[in-house]
Amino acid sequence: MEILVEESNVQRVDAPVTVRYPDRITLIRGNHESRQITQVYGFYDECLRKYGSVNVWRYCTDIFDFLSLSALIENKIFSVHGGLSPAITTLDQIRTIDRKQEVPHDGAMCDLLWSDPEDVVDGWADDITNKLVVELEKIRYGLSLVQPHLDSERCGNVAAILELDENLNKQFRVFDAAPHEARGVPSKKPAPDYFL
Amino acid sequence: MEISAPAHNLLDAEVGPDLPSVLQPLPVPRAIPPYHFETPTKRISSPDDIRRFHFSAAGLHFLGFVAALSHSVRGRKISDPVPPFSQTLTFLLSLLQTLTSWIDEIPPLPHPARYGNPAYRSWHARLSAEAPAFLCPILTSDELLPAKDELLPYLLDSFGNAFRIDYGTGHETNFAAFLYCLARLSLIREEDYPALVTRVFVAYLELMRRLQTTYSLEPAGSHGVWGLDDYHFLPFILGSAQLIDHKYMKPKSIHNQDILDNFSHEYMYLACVAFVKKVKKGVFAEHSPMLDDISAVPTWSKVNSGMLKMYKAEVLEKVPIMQHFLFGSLIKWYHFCLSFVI
Repeated sequence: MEILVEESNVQRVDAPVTVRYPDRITLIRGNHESRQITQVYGFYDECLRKYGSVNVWRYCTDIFDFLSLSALIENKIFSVHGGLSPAITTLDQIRTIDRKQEVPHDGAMCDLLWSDPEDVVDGWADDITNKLVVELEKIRYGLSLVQPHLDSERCGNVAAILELDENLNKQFRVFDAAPHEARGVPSKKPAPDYFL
Repeated sequence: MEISAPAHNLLDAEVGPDLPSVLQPLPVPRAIPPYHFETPTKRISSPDDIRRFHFSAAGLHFLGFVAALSHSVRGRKISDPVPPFSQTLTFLLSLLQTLTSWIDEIPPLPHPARYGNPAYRSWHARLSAEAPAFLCPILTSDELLPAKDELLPYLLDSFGNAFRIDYGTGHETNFAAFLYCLARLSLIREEDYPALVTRVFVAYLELMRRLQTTYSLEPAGSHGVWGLDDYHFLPFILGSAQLIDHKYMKPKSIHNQDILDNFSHEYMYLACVAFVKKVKKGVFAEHSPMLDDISAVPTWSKVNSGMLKMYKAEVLEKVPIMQHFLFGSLIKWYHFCLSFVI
């Protein structure tokens, strides 16, 4: 928590980021790092079932409040979980957000974590925002190459990482799920109490 | 002033320290004229409201209706003979068949995202436009015709949300509420229950599966691996009742692919497991651990009673679902209730 408190809303990241430098791993917040969403999509239930109380869930969601909202890679690439916001035209505006709270239902902080890229971008005419838009476009193009592989669950279990080298050249790495033999069988749990 | 009855004198005396007692079937109280139909509205926004609902006559009887439907199909195959259909059942079946036929007329549009094909909105718009006309033949007297305004919102919300292009147990509960309202108006009677489940509800399930797969409906509020199923709950209640006292099929039989292949058309629970295995990839224990854990329960009777308790706790007592539940004159909201022991 002490480490996260010190971080800015726009966390500076140097490329390349690899696990050889574990003290240089940066996590930014996504829309699912929230009390509301974790109660809907299962993390709350998982904690309750695994640990018998909601304390673990509570501690985790408390920590989420401290996660940074975005990252800036080598001062050139802006990285955020969701997208842009009509309330934000400069990075400094992001820096002034009081992020240490549950993800709000609207406003700048909500938009950064929730908004989706659209094909048509209009409205926010501004140099810096345009640069952000252009970078987003490039990343989206890259994503479109991997999109067919990312329809997980129904079509397969895959993940993707965007890798940047020292010169900020982009490469997508796509991972398939480990084969069943390597995964092991999940341990059988007793049926929920309703069935006793 | 309405006084609602307390829960405990109507429920089974078998009460553990923390668990609810076994949920019993209850007859649906008949609404009698003069009717005061109204457009139903949302009333629940907090856990206190949930408690108020469950201690009210409406809450008790709605759950009692679900338990009664379950009880009516104990040991019954889908194809087992039923009495000749009542007029209401005939119309309901015809409605569901019509809605199903529209899917062929409204094919999915090319769409890159994982969920939410926009063609669903066209299907739903057609439902909104034509549903009032579907209801009229069911309402067989002048006195009943105004019920259309009260019944329509339940029916329209039974097939998913057009804006979000999703579907979940809340929508399924709305369909049950719609049927409950028809029962309150004596348009569905207890002798109709077996056919209501094995013909009408099965047709509803088949329609929903086609909508889910054709238009990639997003699971609304799914708890992922920590929930029973992405979309449905009632077929697990009704389906487990069907298998009670089956001579050779036990809960662990769901792991037998031969049984799933050959008996899904007769038993809803098996059809649900077969559908999940078809649409999800990977090991069953990984993508559906709840169903996998429940397969270790020794008898279908215990599965059935557990499913009813779980439905009450995980669907009917959850604010994110019940905040959308509608209250009118047939499913009545009580601003306050007095509990007392008789």
